[in-house]
Amino acid sequence: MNVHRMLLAISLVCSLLALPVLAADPIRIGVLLPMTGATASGGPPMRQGVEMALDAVGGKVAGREIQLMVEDDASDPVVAVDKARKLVEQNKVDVVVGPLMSNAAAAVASYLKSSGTPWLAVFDNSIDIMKVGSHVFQYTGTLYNMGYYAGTYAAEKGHKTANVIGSDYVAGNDYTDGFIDAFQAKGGKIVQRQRAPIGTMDFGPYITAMKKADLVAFWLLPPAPARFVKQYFDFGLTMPLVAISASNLEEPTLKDLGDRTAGIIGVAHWAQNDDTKINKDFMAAYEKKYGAGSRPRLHVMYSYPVMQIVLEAIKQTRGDTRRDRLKQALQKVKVQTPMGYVSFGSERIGITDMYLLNVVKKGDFLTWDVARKYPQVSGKAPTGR
Amino acid sequence: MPDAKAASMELLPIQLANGIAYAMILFLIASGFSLIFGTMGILNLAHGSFYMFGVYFGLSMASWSGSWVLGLLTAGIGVAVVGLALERLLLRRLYRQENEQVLLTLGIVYICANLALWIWGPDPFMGEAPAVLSGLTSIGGVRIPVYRLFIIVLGIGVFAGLWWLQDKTRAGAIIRAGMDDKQMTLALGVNYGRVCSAVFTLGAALVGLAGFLAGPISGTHPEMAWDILPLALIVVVVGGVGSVQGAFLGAIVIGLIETFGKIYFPALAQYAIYIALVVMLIVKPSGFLGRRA
Repeated sequence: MNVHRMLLAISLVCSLLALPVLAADPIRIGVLLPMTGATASGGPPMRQGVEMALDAVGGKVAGREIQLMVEDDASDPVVAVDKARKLVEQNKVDVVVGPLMSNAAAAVASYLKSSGTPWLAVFDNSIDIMKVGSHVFQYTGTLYNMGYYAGTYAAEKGHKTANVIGSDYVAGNDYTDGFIDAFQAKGGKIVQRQRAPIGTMDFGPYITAMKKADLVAFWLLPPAPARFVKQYFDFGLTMPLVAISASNLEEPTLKDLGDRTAGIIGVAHWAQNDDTKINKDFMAAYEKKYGAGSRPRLHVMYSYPVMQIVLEAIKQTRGDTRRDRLKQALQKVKVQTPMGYVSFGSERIGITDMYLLNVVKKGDFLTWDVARKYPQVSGKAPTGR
Repeated sequence: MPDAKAASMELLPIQLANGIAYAMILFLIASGFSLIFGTMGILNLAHGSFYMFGVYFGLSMASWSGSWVLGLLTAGIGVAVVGLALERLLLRRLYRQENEQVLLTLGIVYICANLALWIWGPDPFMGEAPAVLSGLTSIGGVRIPVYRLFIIVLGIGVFAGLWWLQDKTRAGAIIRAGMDDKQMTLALGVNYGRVCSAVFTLGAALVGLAGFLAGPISGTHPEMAWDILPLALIVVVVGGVGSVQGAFLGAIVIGLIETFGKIYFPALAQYAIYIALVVMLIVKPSGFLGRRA
């Protein structure tokens, strides 16, 4: 045999020997969740979401095992960045997902810029986050956008005037700005806008000062929504309520507040009660895994689709987790999820279905029902936010 | 955006009522804190957790038994027991060690928050006014829940009761003496340790009751302590430590500043009470009616 063939044979054998090593190397996905702190209610359900998504692919993609590295961000931007640092430098993760809170999310996205690690938001953020870098993927769209659809729907339902109240910080202002711009764009009039500080215990002053209008639209940082809605009812006000994000009033809170909540309108990226086949299968799988009668919170469907997206992208790159490959694959991904089809528009902002919901009583049980969907809309509103 | 001031004058009576009702809740929270800090010099940051447990214990009992009154009693007694346990087992060892007290009680706040999360879950719970106190009345043409007027009456009643206790009873005299000159009080044969435990327990009971009473308005959730603590501290600093009158005055001032701030100075609303705190610390650090400098 001549030298050429010898070298060819040797290199072939060597690469064959190397393959099992590559295949054995797991893909690490870093997940930042709030297991403690102010938004701790979001952590456990989000964890359920990532676990279920992993189950659905059997824990492996493209022959490589998927390792989830879950860290608690304690609802704190400083802790979130520390944990992100650990995930990248110590654990060598290929992708980072989360955290939930928008200020912590922005901090982590900024930190990851230097390493170029692909970063996926688990929930809505301000449009500014897209400027942080091309490693940022915002699948649910912006906070403003959700408000925009709330305002659009409210106007389409024939309401002409609105009161708006929001928590006085970035998220609250984005949500309410979106509502206001959309409502006004459709000819509606905002009669009053109130901004409540975070931590407000008594909404009495706001409620008694509310002017008469066709509806009251609100977004407040939890746990304020429960307080606000309770006090609103107790003061005897009857203007219809619009929860700009239905997550302000999850099922346990609807139950606590009681039958008076029936009819409240809300906006979300998903509804537990959506009757598509894929959603029904998901709900059944959830109950099977977590116990009969258990209901997933909205947060489960923040993290589940994100994981689906990541896993699909890895499948498309056939397990190649080099940064650029992954980012290209993420940009092109389209997955069918229990919340509908999810893909990314040209600026890495998601294209999803927007759900308009209202509170109904099914038997003894207060829950959100689907009123209508705006299918496959951009996560960025027509006004550019 | 429409100007708030246009409607403001007609709203003055109702906002005053809102402000005073809120102030009464603040008073109930702060009176316990002031009593403890005034008597024992203990900065009990777990005070906010006591409030939280008051609502949780009370609501759990009220929903299990169907009785609001039982809920109220459970809130007061349950938190009193927790307070007594904290004082006897832990705080007693840290007499005069203010830094350690702060660290210890802060740690307790975190533990309590996670305990509550574990036991009751992450969602907030709102209380319900008892049937006899539910319903609406109106002030200046604007409707207000009857329950809020009840809170005003109750707050004034508790104020009167505590003032009587402070000024007209032997127990009150002993407490005041201890605040002024502990060594002398001890020398006169008073079992000060027992007095401290009693005061701590009373302070805890008061804030536990405050929590349950405010339940239909502001409810509870695992992180509630952080909402309560700044309020208790600011009211006590502004009103003056160590007297019931101080806590009451501080509560009125802060309650009204916060309420009117929300309506007339919304941009400042977030900071209004902190501005009041800073001004007071500069002008008269012992507060309006403070006993100690």
